[in-house]
Amino acid sequence: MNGRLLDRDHLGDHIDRLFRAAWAMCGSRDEAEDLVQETFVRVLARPRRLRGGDDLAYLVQVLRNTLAGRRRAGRRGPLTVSIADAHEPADTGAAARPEEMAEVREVFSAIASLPGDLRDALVAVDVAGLSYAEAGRLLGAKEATITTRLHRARRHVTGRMSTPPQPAPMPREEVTP
Amino acid sequence: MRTPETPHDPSVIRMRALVESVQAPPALRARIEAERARRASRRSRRRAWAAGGAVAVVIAALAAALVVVLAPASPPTVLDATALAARGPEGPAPARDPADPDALARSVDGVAFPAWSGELPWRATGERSDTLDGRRAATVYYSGPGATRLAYTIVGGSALDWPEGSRRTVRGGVEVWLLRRPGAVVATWRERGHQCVISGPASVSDDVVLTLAARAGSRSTPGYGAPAFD
Repeated sequence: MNGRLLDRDHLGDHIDRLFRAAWAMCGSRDEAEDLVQETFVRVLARPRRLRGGDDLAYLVQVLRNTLAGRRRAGRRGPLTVSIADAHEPADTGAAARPEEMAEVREVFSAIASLPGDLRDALVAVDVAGLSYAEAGRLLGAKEATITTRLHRARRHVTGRMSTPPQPAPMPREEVTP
Repeated sequence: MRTPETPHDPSVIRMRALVESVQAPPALRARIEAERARRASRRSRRRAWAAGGAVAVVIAALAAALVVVLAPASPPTVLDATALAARGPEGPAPARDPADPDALARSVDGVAFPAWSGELPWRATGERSDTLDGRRAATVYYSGPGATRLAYTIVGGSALDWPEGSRRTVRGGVEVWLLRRPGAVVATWRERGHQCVISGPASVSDDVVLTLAARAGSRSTPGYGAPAFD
């Protein structure tokens, strides 16, 4: 049989990326947690043989399928602010500062509100960290198409981001003639 | 080896940096690791069973034992959920959901925990998150009159069986099953097909747990208003 088995012992290496991708896809941190857990439970249920691509690309594919399944089944609950937003700043690593956490939420919200094709390209490349080629295989699109979608998606998202605070200008030295 | 494309636009670099600053919640990581370990343990038992075929003489004796070991695990029960809840809170209570003042910003498969403190004398004080046979089981703890603490657990996935020995009651249009055990009271019902459980000390009256269960359950029961709290 072609392909190799998914490396189940190192799936934990991908949880952070999967969580970010899930949040960016669904726009809810709480639902992202459910989604990632459901994805891993599915993947772990039986041995998985990969035909091309690597573990992460496969997991992102399963994540997309899981989200699609939940949407079809109408299991999407009300959008809620995650507990993590208010009570688990340690979850966000460097984003523990309130103003940075607000920026993080803003970015994920902007990504989630993109049109589907643009969002998928940006999630695959900028959030999950897939190459253009992997993203193309995942989304059934040519690399050139991914490049175009990604460019448009980035323009949308960065256009909605707040301008980061600029450092205060240095006081000019008084020079005595 | 993955070689992600590197953007040059400072705005895109900042966007990526913000995205990458997010890490998965530790509780999620722990649940996934527990699930992986559980599956790995099951696989190793299967391999052990296969190796046992070489020892033909003792197969008959071993087989019976292995059948027991390898038999499909029995589904989780409501009492399993209460056992997890009895471990106590792991963190502070979830905040109120800004989009729904009657709910906390914590949910399982779309079923949110109620925010009672505005209408009922029960205030969320803590929470924990577990995995129950691969399902997510989240618990929020509420503190009420006399510092009584109740645990409210929502189990993801399909509904569990009603607990053996429990008594069926319909309160406010919600089907609630009530069970009294030594030292504890348990009320369970279903919301959107998911099992919800309130457990607390035996000193809590049936009426209190039934009312809370009915108040929570009526949110997803069309045609019924919320029952009055006595």
